[in-house]
Amino acid sequence: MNQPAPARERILAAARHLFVTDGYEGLDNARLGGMAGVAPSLVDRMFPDRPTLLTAVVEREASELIDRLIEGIPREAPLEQMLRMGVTVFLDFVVAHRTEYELLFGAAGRLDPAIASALQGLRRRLANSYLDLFRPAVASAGVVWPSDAEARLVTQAMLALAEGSVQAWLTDPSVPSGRFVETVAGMIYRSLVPPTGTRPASTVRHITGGGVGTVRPRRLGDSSRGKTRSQRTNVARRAARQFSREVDFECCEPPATASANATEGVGVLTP
Amino acid sequence: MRTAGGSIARLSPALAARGRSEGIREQIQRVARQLFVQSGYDGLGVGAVARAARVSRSRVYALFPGRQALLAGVVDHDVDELVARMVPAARAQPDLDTMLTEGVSTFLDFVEERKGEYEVLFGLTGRLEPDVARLLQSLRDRLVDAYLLLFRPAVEAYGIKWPSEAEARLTAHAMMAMVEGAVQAWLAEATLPRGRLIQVLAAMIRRALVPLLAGARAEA
Repeated sequence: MNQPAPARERILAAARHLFVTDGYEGLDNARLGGMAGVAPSLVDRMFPDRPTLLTAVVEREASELIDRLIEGIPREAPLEQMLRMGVTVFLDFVVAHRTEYELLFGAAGRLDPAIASALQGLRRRLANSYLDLFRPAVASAGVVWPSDAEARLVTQAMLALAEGSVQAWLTDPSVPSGRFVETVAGMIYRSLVPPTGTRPASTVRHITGGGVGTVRPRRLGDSSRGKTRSQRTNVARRAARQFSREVDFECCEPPATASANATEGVGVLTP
Repeated sequence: MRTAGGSIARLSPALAARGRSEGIREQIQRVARQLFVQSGYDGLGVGAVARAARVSRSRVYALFPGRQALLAGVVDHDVDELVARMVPAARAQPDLDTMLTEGVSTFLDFVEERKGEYEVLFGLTGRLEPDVARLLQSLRDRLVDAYLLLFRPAVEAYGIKWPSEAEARLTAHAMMAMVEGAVQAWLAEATLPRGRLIQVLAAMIRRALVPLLAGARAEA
């Protein structure tokens, strides 16, 4: 767009405010122009329809979040520290933008498929930004992703983990915020980095006695349950076996104490 | 105002028979699900559901007084079904890895079966038409209760202890959100084979959970 940035900025700032106060349907271009100090016709020229305007507002929010992350996260720091800062910045951002966050994304839900897919694309771009930001530190921690597609999927999963945790925490903030950051950053770190640490992928070995996705023999006492086992169980077992054969990322061996206890209490539903 | 009995009498014989077999509530829920998938939250309403189900408005209203109640009915039904399907995953498995693999696989099956509904509900509508958002948050709370009830014994038998109840719930929310978000991204763009997706997610959950062991042992 060739319009001067300040007018565009003013329109987007006003639109963000009005989307929150008046809702998506209630947004009025004349009022928006008045608040931004521009002619309504300029608003029309820059943002010919409401989905375009909303998408621009959401993108502006996303850019702000990414800028804050870039500013807030020490580049040379180890991954764990980066993640802790990342979660802190994200939590602060969501708390500060709580109403917009809910209403902007809420309005989007009722919209035409065009904006829905624009927002889906925005999420992908967000994930890519996170990936760019964290990838060097992840690599330094010894994690090698088998493919770019997998790296992106894992990043989206981590993004969802952080979002979902923040959402849950906003509803029920009984975990103190410092502890929240530790817990969430810790989960992301451990999900990304195998606990056995920094062996390069070429030395990865396949653990057969309880590694990720491997199958332990069923206990004798489980035979009655075995009879009613669903087909899905078999599919999952096949997937698990295949996993133990094919997957080339490492995992931890469960500690001896865990193995010893692993069969106790399983399948017992405590109220 | 029409009575509920009067409206049942107006049902066609076929619908009445179906109403008896599956129950009027289930019938309305089924129709509400179809409408929701076709036309989103805005398309859901007592009138529209009554027309599509060929039931009187008052009959629908008596069971589901409004759009939000209709969606809540659909969602409740889904939660019950998902939880029921998770039971074998939790019960049958003596080890965490297979349990997680099966749990993720079950969830993916469930979502793939109702992809349209899932996209509307958990996709962008869920973030957040305020009504839907509240509903989804309560749905997630219910699912967390169920997951903790189902999987916690096995996880704890593995030696994992959470320092507090609040933290156990937070962890469950985080793991659920991670799987939800990844599945959503995968449905939009299936860049990985299905089996690989399941493996990657199960492994991430396991790693997020299992190193708590070290902390737990240190405290013990």
